[in-house]
Amino acid sequence: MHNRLSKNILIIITIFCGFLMVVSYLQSSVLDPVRYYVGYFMTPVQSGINRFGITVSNGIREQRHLREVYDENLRLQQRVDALTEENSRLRSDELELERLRELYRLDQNYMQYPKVAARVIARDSQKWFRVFRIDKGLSDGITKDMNVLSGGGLVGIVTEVGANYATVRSIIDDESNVYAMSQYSNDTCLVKGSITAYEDGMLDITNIDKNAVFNDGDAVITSPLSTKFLPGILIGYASGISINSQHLTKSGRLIPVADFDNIQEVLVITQIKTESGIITPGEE
Amino acid sequence: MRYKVIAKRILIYFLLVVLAFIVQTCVFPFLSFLASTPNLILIITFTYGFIYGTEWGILCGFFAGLMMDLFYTEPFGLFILIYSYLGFFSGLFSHTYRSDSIFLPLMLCLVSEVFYNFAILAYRYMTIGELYFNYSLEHIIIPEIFFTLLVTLLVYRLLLIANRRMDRVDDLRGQQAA
Repeated sequence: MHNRLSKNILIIITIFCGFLMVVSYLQSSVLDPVRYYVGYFMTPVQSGINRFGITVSNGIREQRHLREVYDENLRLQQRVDALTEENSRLRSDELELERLRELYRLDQNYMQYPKVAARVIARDSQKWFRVFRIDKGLSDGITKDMNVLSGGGLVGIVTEVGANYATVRSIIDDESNVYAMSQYSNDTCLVKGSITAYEDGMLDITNIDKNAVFNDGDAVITSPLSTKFLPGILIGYASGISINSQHLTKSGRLIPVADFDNIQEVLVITQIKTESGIITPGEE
Repeated sequence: MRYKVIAKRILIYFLLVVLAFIVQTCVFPFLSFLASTPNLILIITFTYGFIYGTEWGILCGFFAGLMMDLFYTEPFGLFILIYSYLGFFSGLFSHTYRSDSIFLPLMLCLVSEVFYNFAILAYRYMTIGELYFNYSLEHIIIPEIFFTLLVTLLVYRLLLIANRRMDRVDDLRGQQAA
């Protein structure tokens, strides 16, 4: 008798979920209000517990890495010296660049997008999907399709927003495709996430024209061709570029700038790219 | 069981699943020395299914799936479906439940984990079109099963003790009312 009741419940759930899946697959925004209001209550709790988890994690990590850090500190000090020297040299170059820019009237300087900082409060516990949740949402001016950066490089894109949270799909997710180009030659390529490539800390680069100038070590930035990613954002550096067996295209790997395993703080660009150009939502 | 007791239980299970889910997503992934994270809500689902039978298993599975569906932007209902079936499945074995046995819960955990991961694998194959079977097995499924089994040893006992206490309180109240 018990089992019959459960079976009936199970049948109802199956039909109910099947219906919901079809509906949300066809029109993914249908359930946004539900997620929105649940997020309203969940985010503060998640945020608090996350802070606790990070404290514990950092405590343990501190103990383990104290020695490593000591050695690293020595190495870094040498690096700082070298970089200071390089910096002073670059500063003079920068002044020169500014003058040249003015000459060229190149007023469209990339990478100067307005940004908002946010903390990562939840991550997918399983490694199936590469999404995470940040503690800023609609009330902080975040909207869908905003680009997310960390460590100086592209991390992902906002796929869903609530009042005080936003879900970000990282570019290492299997479903992620980013139109990009070589900063050096402006030849385009496609940067794809893949769980197998990410095991080595990399992403895949495909669809490079066989005649394109694309070398290992080239900086790869987002292309103006992309429909959702703002142009000129650094993604990473090309590596292992080789021509495919059909001799039509080249492909290889990309070493990302951002460290995806340890994202705790991110920057969200508060402008989005639409068909009519780059706009700041809420300002029209 | 009286309605009050049932309502109280539903509320407790719901809060328990929410808590487990938050710990699972907000604490474990940030502990960088863990190779994988245990699936706490799956443990809760099969434990309650196993102890109290199919209805309670489905209920916990429903809550667990609901949390997952609210977190991920996959089609809504996918995880509710998977977890509800898991709860039902483990409930089928509830007549063999003996509080001192740990072997059967571990087997149930293993079967649930395998079913759960293969369901997601199948879903991903449908949406992405690539399988990466060996890779997934080696890097995602096996570590997760291992960690979940390990945590089951601990959490199952805790849940059992908590439930025994709750049942006793409910029984006493029932006697007083009668």
